[in-house]
Amino acid sequence: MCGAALVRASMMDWMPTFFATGIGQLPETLASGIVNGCIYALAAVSLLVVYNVTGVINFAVGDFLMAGAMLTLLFAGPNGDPHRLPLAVAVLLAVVIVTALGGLLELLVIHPRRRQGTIFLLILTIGISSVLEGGALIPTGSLTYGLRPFTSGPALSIVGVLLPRQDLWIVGSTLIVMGLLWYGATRTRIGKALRACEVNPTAARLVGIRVDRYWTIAFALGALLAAFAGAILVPVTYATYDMGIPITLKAFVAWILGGAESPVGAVAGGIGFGVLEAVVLGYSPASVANYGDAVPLLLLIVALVIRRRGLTRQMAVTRV
Amino acid sequence: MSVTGSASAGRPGSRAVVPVSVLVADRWWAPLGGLALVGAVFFTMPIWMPALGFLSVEDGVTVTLYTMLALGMVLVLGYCGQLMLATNALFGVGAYGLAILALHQGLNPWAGMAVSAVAAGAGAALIGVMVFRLTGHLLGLVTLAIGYIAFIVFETSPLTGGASGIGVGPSLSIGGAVFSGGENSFFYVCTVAALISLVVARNLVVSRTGRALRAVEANEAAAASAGVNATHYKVVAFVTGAIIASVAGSLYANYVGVVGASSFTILVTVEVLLMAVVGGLRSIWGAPFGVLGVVVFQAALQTYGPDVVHINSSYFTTIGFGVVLILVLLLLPGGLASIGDGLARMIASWSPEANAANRRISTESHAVALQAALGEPSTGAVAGVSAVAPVAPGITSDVEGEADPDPPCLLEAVGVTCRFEGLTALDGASLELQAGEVVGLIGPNGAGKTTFFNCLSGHVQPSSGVVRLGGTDVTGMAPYRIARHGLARTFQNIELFPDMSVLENVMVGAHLSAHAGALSAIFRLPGHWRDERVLAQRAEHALERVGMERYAARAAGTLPYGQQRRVEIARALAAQPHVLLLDEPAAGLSASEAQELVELVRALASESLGIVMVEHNMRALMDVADRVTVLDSGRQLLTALPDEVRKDETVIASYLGTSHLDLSRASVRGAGARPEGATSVPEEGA
Repeated sequence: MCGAALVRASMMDWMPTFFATGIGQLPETLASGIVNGCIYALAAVSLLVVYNVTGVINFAVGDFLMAGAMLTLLFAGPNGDPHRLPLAVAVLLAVVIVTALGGLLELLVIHPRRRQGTIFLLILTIGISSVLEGGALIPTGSLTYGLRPFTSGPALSIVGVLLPRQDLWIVGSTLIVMGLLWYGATRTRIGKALRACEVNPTAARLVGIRVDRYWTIAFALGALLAAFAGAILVPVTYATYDMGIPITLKAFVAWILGGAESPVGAVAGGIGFGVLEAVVLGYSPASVANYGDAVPLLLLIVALVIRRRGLTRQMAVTRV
Repeated sequence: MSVTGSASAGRPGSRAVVPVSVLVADRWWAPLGGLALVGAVFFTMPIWMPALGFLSVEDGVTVTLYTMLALGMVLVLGYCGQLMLATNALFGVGAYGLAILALHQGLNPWAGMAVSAVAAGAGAALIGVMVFRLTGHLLGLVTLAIGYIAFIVFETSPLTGGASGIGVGPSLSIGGAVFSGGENSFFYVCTVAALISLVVARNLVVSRTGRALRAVEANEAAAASAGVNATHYKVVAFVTGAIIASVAGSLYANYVGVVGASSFTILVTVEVLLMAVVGGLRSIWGAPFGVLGVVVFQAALQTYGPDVVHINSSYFTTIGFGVVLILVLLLLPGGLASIGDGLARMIASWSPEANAANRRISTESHAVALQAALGEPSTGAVAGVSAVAPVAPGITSDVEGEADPDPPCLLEAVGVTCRFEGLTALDGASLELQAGEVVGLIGPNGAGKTTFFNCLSGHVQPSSGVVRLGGTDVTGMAPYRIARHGLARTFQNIELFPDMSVLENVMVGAHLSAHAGALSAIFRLPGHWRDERVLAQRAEHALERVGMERYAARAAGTLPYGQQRRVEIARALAAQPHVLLLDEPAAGLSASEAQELVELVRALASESLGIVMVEHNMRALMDVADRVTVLDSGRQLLTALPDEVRKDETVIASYLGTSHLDLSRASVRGAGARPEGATSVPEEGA
């Protein structure tokens, strides 16, 4: 249930009861915020990896997440269909396919125009988003799908806080992925080269790194992170073809909230946004909580505009 | 040297080659051609759409309303370079506004439409002021979030009727004629609204405001140095688009009768973006055809798609849109408009007169470029500087001597320091500039010369120190405000608006000498015409001073380097500034061109302009400067007369790194046949 805030407003008829939480449930509220925050963190790091290497904001990040969720469902079988692949295999296949898709779309769509301005490329990723969304719509229709948790059983009680098992899966696997990412970025050749492209593309080119190739790798890595987030998310929420754009927006907000520079910041921003969302929606009167996503997004846009000086200084391109 | 001869002979008759007055002459009837074309296509939609078999008049209404939405996208994204993705919100404000005002206030639908449009405009202004400080892609996502929030509010709020929507009430009517949704008469109302919107957008774009918009899109820093307040113009474009979108929304409400949230999803914004891209983001006239193309494509897909693949036809739309968006951006980034432009050019090239003029321009510029490359000394005025009164070298100091004992200080900088994250680029630099004086600013690379300029013009905020312009403290002011105090500048790396014509570039430079705003542009009030004439004359005059009037019609980006420098100087001159900052004006000029530049600078100084000039071409600089300030590693070494600087040991040491090379060598060397303009002293010394 903790992925509830991810569900779009149109499906929120059951949410007021869920959110009518008392103060006694603060630990559970915080926990659910952290769990959602892990998803936002993965998506925000996906945005960050692509942006840092290419300068492109990947508008399709939420749709890569949706693709990961949908493919996991397809392979594992929605709700207890026994004639499908084992869960681990399903997740792995889904992630591998979406990763390849991310790299392929970069090669086909972004690559020919990578010398264009960032807005042009952002519009191209909007195109990719529509293609992925439309591609999911045709086989799935506008139906919603759910998946069983990775391990079944009642919620676990940890220091008095009741935690559904899938929540633990989400937090644990996010930690592992982030650890692997850190290791990859600092200890491997590809990771170091990616960071070189990020810091100084010209210098990277001069020492023989094929920067263009790392654009493809960055998009593939971004798609991988998003797809993985989708795969671990799908047991706690419903997957629909159009779940992507709200997640893109939240990932973007999380990314900015974390300072838009470092992966640590993006993770902190993701979890911070998740907690904020859970607390705001959990403790608002139903008349406000009805607006779902709109509430935390609005708060953060206001915050963003107020502290815009700090942000624009970081991201502005000096032209003189 | 026959080329030179023809060029100089061409000067008096240059207006015959490219008549500037004709270039600017935008007559009131100029948009009628495009209007007639779009009108012919739109008004006949009830005839040809059903004839195609898969379209109906309802699609015609969609085309007209989405044309209005797409125009907003073209104005804001295409002309102003700002990715605003809140179209669905503005569309919704118009629709719900009409419905709510009719339901709760019993307002006449026309009044409801007007009130909604005002509300949308005010909201857009508010949002614009808040978010336009954000840079491009951030702006896109923030405004998309606004669009998403608006959708949730439409879907949830009791005021908008939640998911079930809200009824609209009485239809639009004039006198006894009622324009209800299903009727053909209503389609004609929409068509008229779309055509009016086209004229509004077109008039806005072809005006002082429109030039400012395009300048902001092309180069915000350069636009600011001409006094263009970027935020103001972005907001103007956004508000205009918002009002048009809101009117479209009100018409839509009248059309459907019941307004539901599902008509205002983010998909609407993506769809409008797609239509604007297909039509051509830089083209007002492309928009209606982009919309038409997408609507026809969508209808065809939904009609014939299921015959190929047996799936619910509406499922095709999303992927179809994505594929088309990507394909157009990859294969035809200029959209349908670029096809139209190509056709127009082809037709124009059939006219023998235009052909001859084109050929002449290209030969001339080719010859000039060739000459610059070869460094040939020119015998005649190649593209001579029309110095108003040739001034003898000594005259500026004479003027100074005769001036009153306490001459007004035009520009004064005291202890200007600029730090970038620990690096002190400029450390306590000072400068005083009197009217009619030329101060040279020299120093090795990285000495802080350009940073000093940026602090003076406001492009960089000094960490400490004071800059006064004509007695006013302008320290830390925005560049466009400093420009209003009479400071104009050029940039080290030429910062022109490459897609705009030379004349338009320079007209932007004269921006502050006119006042016509968006309203007089849209309604073509007398003020608009008057200001256009004033701006064109100023620009023409400035171009004559640098000898570039023959190239007025050329796109600035297509000129060779040295000519771009002249255009940039003309743009600064068009502002009729009191203080002129020239950042390496002689870079890339041939020896003779550099000499012309020296004469121009002298002539300007004799007209009481104060000039600060960064220059590596020592000969040009020492010839023209009254005083020279030397910077090294951000610190000011000294300010002295050119002769003293030339002989100063510390300057020579710091500038050349060695003391045995004589800085004066550069000025002693005669004006030989070797190209020297592009080579700077330090490079020769190295």
